[in-house]
Parts: sequence; structure tokens; C-alpha cells
Amino acid sequence: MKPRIPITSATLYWLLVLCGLVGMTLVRPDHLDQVLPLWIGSVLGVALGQTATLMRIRPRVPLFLIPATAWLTLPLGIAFFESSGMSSVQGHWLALSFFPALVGGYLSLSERGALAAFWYPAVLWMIVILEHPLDPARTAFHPGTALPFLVLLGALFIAFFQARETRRVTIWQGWGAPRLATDVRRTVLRTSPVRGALSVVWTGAIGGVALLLAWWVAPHLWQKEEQLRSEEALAHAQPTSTRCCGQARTEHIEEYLPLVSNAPSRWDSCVRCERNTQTASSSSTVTEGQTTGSGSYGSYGSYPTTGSVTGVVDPYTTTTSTPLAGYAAPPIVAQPYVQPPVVNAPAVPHPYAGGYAKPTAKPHVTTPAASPTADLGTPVHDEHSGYAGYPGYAPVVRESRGFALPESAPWPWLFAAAILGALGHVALRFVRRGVTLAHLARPFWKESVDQQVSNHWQRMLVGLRDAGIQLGRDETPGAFARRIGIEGMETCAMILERVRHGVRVESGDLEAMSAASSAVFARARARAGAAGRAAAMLRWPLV
Amino acid sequence: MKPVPIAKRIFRILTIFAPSWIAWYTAAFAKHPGELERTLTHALGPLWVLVCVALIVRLCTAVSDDRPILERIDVLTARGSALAWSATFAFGLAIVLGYASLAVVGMLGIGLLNVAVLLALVIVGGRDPLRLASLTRTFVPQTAAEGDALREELRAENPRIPVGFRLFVTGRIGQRFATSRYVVDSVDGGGEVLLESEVGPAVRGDHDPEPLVAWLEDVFGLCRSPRYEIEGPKLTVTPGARAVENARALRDRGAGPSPTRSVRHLPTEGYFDLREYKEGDDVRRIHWVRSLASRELVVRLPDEIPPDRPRVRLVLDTFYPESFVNTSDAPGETLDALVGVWLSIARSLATSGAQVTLVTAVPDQKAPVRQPFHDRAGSEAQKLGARVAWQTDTPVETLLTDEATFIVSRGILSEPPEARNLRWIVVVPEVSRPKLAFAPVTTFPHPFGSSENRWTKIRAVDTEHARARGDHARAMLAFGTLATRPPPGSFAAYALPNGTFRLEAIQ
Repeated sequence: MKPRIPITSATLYWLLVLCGLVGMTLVRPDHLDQVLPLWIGSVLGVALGQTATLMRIRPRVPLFLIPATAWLTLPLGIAFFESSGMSSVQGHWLALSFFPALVGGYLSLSERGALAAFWYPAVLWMIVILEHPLDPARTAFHPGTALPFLVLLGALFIAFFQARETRRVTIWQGWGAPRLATDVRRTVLRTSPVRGALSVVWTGAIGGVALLLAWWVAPHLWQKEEQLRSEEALAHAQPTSTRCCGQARTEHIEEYLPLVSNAPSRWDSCVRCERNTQTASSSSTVTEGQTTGSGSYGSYGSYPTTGSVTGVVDPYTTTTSTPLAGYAAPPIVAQPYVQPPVVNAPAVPHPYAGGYAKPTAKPHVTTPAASPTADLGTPVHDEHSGYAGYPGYAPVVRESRGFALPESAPWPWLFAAAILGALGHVALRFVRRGVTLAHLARPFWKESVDQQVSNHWQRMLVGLRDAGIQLGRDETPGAFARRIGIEGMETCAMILERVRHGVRVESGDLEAMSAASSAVFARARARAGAAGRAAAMLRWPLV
Repeated sequence: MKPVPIAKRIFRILTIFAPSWIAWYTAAFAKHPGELERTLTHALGPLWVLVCVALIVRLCTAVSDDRPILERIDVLTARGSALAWSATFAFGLAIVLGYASLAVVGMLGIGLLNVAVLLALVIVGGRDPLRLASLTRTFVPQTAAEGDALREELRAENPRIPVGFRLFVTGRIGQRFATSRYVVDSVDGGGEVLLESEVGPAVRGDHDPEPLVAWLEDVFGLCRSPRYEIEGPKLTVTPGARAVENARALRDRGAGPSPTRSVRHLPTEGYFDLREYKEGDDVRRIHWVRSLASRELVVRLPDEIPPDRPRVRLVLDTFYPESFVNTSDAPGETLDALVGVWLSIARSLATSGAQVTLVTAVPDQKAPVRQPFHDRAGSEAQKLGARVAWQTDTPVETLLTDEATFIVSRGILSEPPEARNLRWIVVVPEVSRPKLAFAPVTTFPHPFGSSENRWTKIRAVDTEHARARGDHARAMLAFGTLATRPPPGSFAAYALPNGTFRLEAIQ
């Protein structure tokens, strides 16, 4: 009989994808025109991919069939697209999600394509992470904000890899080119009581190390802007009257699925710097609905808004801000603020074009406190923004967002419920064990003598299992007692065998069974050690 | 254990550190090397250095080991190798495209791989990862009869399976037995585990089982330990009983029982048969005491002795030079049938009163083996039947004498000697057709995710199947060929569907 192939890896992959989709739905509640095709494309793609794996279809089949049938499928697809009333944006998102989901679903159960399969769920998760739904006030990626998601993603990565390997091992045992032995049985006669817990700890440790590595390194790969921005701000603080601060290099975070707050764009600008006033004369090319920022907040910032400016002017955006504490208002304003021109002509069509409705946000205008001095003073360091420089040129701290995460999103509650559920599950094991053992020792309701004898034997087996000793398959109670050799086991085995064979039970047999099984139980538990007893508290099944 | 090509081994060893280095190099020389370099120097760099140090240390310790050095540091599996390269590819794409997800995927992959490699080199790369473990392999029953259900037991006592690893054991007894595959989790490490599997009906022979191969592999399937062999005890499977119908024909038409013979005795011999003297009787036969008592001449007649038991030599022809290049099961099954018929005929003749001597040549013995047949379970004849195998040294002609002989053979391959008392029994067995289907073109032969779905493995299996098909055809052609017509009085033993044989005289 062939072993049953576990479905854990497939389930985990679905969990990864569905969690990513739910996350995207929550961070983009206003963009159903994107999210809905994303759901359809992802679910269809993964389902189709995994169905192909169930049918064991080789990659060469679609690689041959798709080009070969393109003459038919392409016109049909276009006709369907036009008749369905789907907008181009929706079609674009459907295609963006369907094909990678299809490939990911197909590779998710493959032997060596697990990492490639993991990429598509990672895309969904990264959007959730980068658009930081947990803290709407933050405008820049912050590892602390994204940490829960990264932890979860890392944990699922480890779990997915382990489940995939477990599946492969099961297949290895049951399927192969040579004729395989049947009825493979594994009987544990003796084992260490704490081994199972150690295994879990090890898996967690491996996951932790990999996660730590990812958490440490990965953000640096897309946080380059922050550094550039800080350098630039420092450049503004130079007492030069007017100079070009150089090209404000912008390098946005990019993702396969476009980020709402940070669609790819190019911005080549020369920022004219003055001691107390800046004028940003830009020759920029900005796509519609995209951020113009290039600072640490710019990466994840909001949409440009207009408003009256008082105080510090951010050369890359027109939003205003509350100055930092210790801010000194510039005494001389050489030039009025000039709004940087915005060219609403995207050079390259973008997925958001036409599909993304820029939300309007009311500009937040603040008036900074007047400062009697123009002295630059001592450099300050703002922990919040990471800015280090002179107070007069502190970077803007955004307070407005182009889109708002629904405040009713029950993230904290969901997390709390999940954690409570896990803890409850563990606690339930503890309770269940206690109740079961109590019943086996003294039945809660009236039971026959035969049943009580069986209960005592079962209780003794639980104690022995705590010490890692198990009854062998087809092993008789007498043989088991002789193999283990704990005093009292022979008595228990003898009484149990008499009961099983229908021999009359003597009057004192039940008491003898109870006393002997209790003694064996206690001795076995003592043999298990403290760690073993602790691990046994949460073990299920009991035997 | 099939040897791994050296080039493949070197590639896998290079994969331990080369992709990580490439990832580091790619990142370090990207657009903003300052930021990346700093990050990678602190993250990837130390891990990479650690792996390299562990590799060098393991290399140094392997010098004093009796195993090949490369085998000791070749810890990466095919899946680990794939992960290394795909993570590097993802990392490179992340640098080029700037996708955050690719960076995360690449880092998770490289991080997991490096940690797994480090652990594998430190924990299971030693001289004997399974030290203190007792892996005992037994067969139940130890001496089986052909066709009996045979069970293999592997008892692992105190196996040292580090946490996060699994113990894999695989192997078979021989070509015609099923392959066992066992997995022991680290949870059972340090305990006692009994693994059992039904390896199929016992196949006749005196088997020296192929060793089981054991190795440790981490739970992610990325790294493994060197492979170790577990020897097993010798397994003897005695030939099963194969009934032969119409065996009486052998007695009737062949070298059947000899007629009763009288032995000439001296004239003075004989005590019981007396008669009156007749003219012409030898006077030396006169019983003088009786003659005096009866007052007439009485002579003694010679006693009759019982007839002698006919002696029959039953020769088994095991000469088949091509057997060692034939990978199909047909030669083995044919020999099993030959041995079964050989012993059945011997039993039949012995039952009818003949003295049967079994004669054959076995591979490990230069002189032909002669064994008087006694119909007892576990007799020497049964053991001889288990030892019989195809051999290339002794043609059947060298086993013949001038005694009455039956030759049990797969075919007459040479001109039989002109001997009046030589009879052939040509066995026509029913051998199983090879179930050697080629892998389908559109689907994988095994469930998705099986390591045996790899193109190279499918191709190897297909090649093996093609060869086995050819071998089977060659074997059947060889067994069906008679070089000359059997002499009169010979028989053919045809296999019947119920597993028995029917003797038919060749006209």
C-alpha cells in the first residue's frame, strides 16, 4: 500500500498566497479594480498550476502547447477580454498575477523549484510589508513596523521548505523506478522523551537565523534613498549662498506589482541650494499619481499636494511639515517658493495609468514658531526621520498620506486572536491529558472491571511513553513487560492477559492492577526526567 | 553503491561556496557598492567565511580518513545545489531589477543554505556520523523456501541522528528482490526503532545480500552526510516444490527400474530351495545330509537375491556464458524452473525406488558436485538446489558418464554424445514478461516532486529498461534454441499455468 502523500506543502503555499492577497486587499481597499483581478489571477493561476502537478504534466507540454495554440487562444482571449467589459488596467493586473501564480503553483510542489515558487507569494507579501499597514503614520519603511510580517514570511518560508521535503521523502518511500518493498512498518520501541521538542527548537533556530539574515540585509537593498536624502540635506546646510546640490538621484523601491506609493519613476533635478532658502528648479519627468520624493519618506511617501508653504521647504515635494523642535525660522527669504512643475505626461505607460485614482488629501499647513536667530546652531539628530544635520534644513516629516489604511482593519485583534488560539491549543492538550489520566486512574463514571483493568494498563503505557518507551507492534503484554523489566509490569501484563482471554478476574486483581500500574507509572515518569515530564505535558496522542 | 562521477562531485563542492561568493560579488559591484558592501560584509561575508572555514577544517580532518576526501566534503544534495544557484540568480535579479521580493527570496535562500551547509559540515561531516549506533539487518525467516513471504528487519539501536536530520536507509537483497526504503526521524534518535518491510516472495538462491546504504539528510533536503553501508547476513532460499506431471513416463520409457536379476552363486551356496536330483545336475550341489535323511538324492538350488535398485544420474545443465551480461530476470527465472524440475524429477524417481544422484556444477566450485538425493526437508539436496547458479566454466558434456543419466537442461546446445542410456529433459519455463514501460512523453512517471522525475534519472531508467528488454529477448532466443534434435526417449517439461510442469515425450 502506497503511503499517503502529505498535502502540507500545497496547503502552505495556498496560505502564503491567500495571506498575501488578504494583506493586499487590506492595504488597498480603495483599489478593487486592481485587487479583484489580482485575486482572480492568483487563485486561478495557483489552482491551475497545482492541478497540473497532480496530473504530473511535464513542463514541455505547456511550453509546446502555448506557442502552438497561440493562433487560437490569443484571439479568443482578446475576444473574451473585450466582451467581459474588463478595463485595460484590470486586464493588466489579471495578466500580471495569473502567469507568475501559474508558474509558482506548478513549481510549489516540484523538487527543486521551491525557491522560485516562493517568489510570487513574496511579491504579495512585500507589498504588504512596504506599504506598512500596521502604522499609517509612518511614511518610511521601518523594520520595526514590518517585523511581524517579515517574521511570518520567514516562518512560512521555513515551514514551506520543510513541508516540501517531507512530501518528497514520502514520495521517495512509496514511488520509484525499482520495485519497492511493501508494507513498510516502523515501530518505535524506545525513544528520548525530549527529542520532539528539540526538533521543534532546531527548526525554529534555523528559521530564526535565516530570518535574521534576511531582516538585516534585505532592507538595505531598497533603503538607499534614505542615505542619499540625508546626504543631500547635509549639503543644504552648507553656508554656500547658491549652488547646485547636484542631481537628486532617485532610486525607488520597485516591485513586480507596482507599489501604490512608489511607482517607478525617474527624477533628474538640480536643486539650487541657498543658505536659508532653497528653490527647487526641476526638470523632471514624473508620471501621474506618483511620488516626487526622494528622501527616506519619499520611498513610501504620499502624493504631492499643494498648499501654502511656511517654514522649511522640501525641495522634492510641496507638502509642509511641522518643524522639529529647536527649529529656527530663516530670517531672510530671498526668493519665494516656486512650485516645481509637474508634467502629467508619462513617458512610459504605467499600470496605474487610468487605473489608479489619486486620492485627495487635505494639505496640512502649519506655521512654525518664529525664531529670532538665523544662526545655524548645532547640528541636530532626529531619531524619527533619521535626519542628522542643521535644524534649519531638517527634512520634512510627512503627515499626510495619499491613501489611508482603514483604521478599522483588525490587525492587532487578528494577531492577538491567532496567538491566543495557538496558546489555547497548547493549553487544551495539557487539560486533556490531565482529564484523561484522572479518568484512567479513577473512572468518572461506572465502568466494568475489565474496562478498569484496561484503563490501568493504558495509564501505565502513558507513563512509559513519557519515558520514551513504547509497546511494539504485535508485541504481547507479557513480552513487553519482560523487555522493559520495570517491577510491577509483569503483574499488570498477567492480569491484562487474563482479562483479554476471558479468564475470571480474582477479587484482588483490580487493586493489584491499580497498585502495580501506579508504581510503574511513577517509576517511568521518574526515568523520564524533568525535561521529559515537561515535554510530555503537551504531547498528543498520549501513547 | 553506484560511484558518483568526479566531475559531479567537484561541481557540488564548488556549489557550496561559489554561488554565495557570486551573490556577494554581484551586490558589491552594483550601483551603490558602499551601502551594499557594508551590508553584505556584515551579513553574507561572515557566513560565507564560516562555511569556507568549516570546509577547510573538514578537508584537513578528512586527510587522515580512509574514505576519499571529496566524499567527505561533498555534503550538498541536488536540491541544495538547485537552491544555491536559484538564490544567487534571484539575488542577481534583485540587484538588476530592484525588486524587493527577489532580494528577500535570494537572501532567505542563501541564508538557509549556508546555515544548513555549516551544520552539515560540523555535525554530520565527521568520520562516522552514525557512531555508537547499532544497525542490525536480519531476514525473517532466515532460511526460507522459494515463494515464501520474506520480511526484512532493520533494528536501529541508539542511532545518532542529530536534531534536524533524518536517517535514510535503502537497499535490496538482489536484483530480483524489492528495494526497501526506510526513514528514521531525529525524534527517534538515541532510541530503539524496528523497521520492517516485506521484500516480496523469496527467490531461490544462496544470497549474499547487497549492503543497505545509509546516510543522514537535513529536514530541508539540502545537505547530507557521506553514505555508509550496512551489511546483512547471508540468506538461503531453498528451491520450492514444483510438481511434475506424468513423471511415470520416465520410468516407463526412460531409464526406468531394471528387471529382477539373478546372481550366479557357487554350487555350494543356497540353503532353502531343494529338490530331487535330476540327471545332469551338478553333483556338487547334492545336499548329502538331507539325502541320507530322505534316502534319495536331494540337490540345493541357488538362492535368488532381490533386484538391485536402479541407479540414475540426474544432471542439471547450468552452463550459460551470457548470464553475466544479461540484466533481465529471464535467466534467473529459467534457472529456478530448471532447479525445480530437477528436484521434482529426482523426488519422483526416488519415490519409485531408484537411487538418484544429483550432479551439477556450481560457480564457486570447480569440480562437479555429486549429491545423493534424499527427499527430506532441509536436506543436502535442497541446499545444493539453493546454491545452483549459472556458470561459465563447465559444459554439460563434462558431467556425463556411461551410467544411466537424465540431463535437465534449458536446451540442447551441442551434439549429444551417442549413448544409449542418455536422456534429455528440456525445460520450457514460463518466465515473466518484463514490465519495462518507458516514461511517457507528456507526464512524469512518478508523483510531482519525486527526485526520480529528473530528466537524467528518467533517461537512465529508460536506458536500463531498453537494455533489459534486449537482454530478455536475447535470453528467450537462447533458451528456445536447440542445436540438435533430442535423441529418442527425451522429454520436454512444459510449464503449466498453475505453476506445475508436464512431461511430454519428444517423438
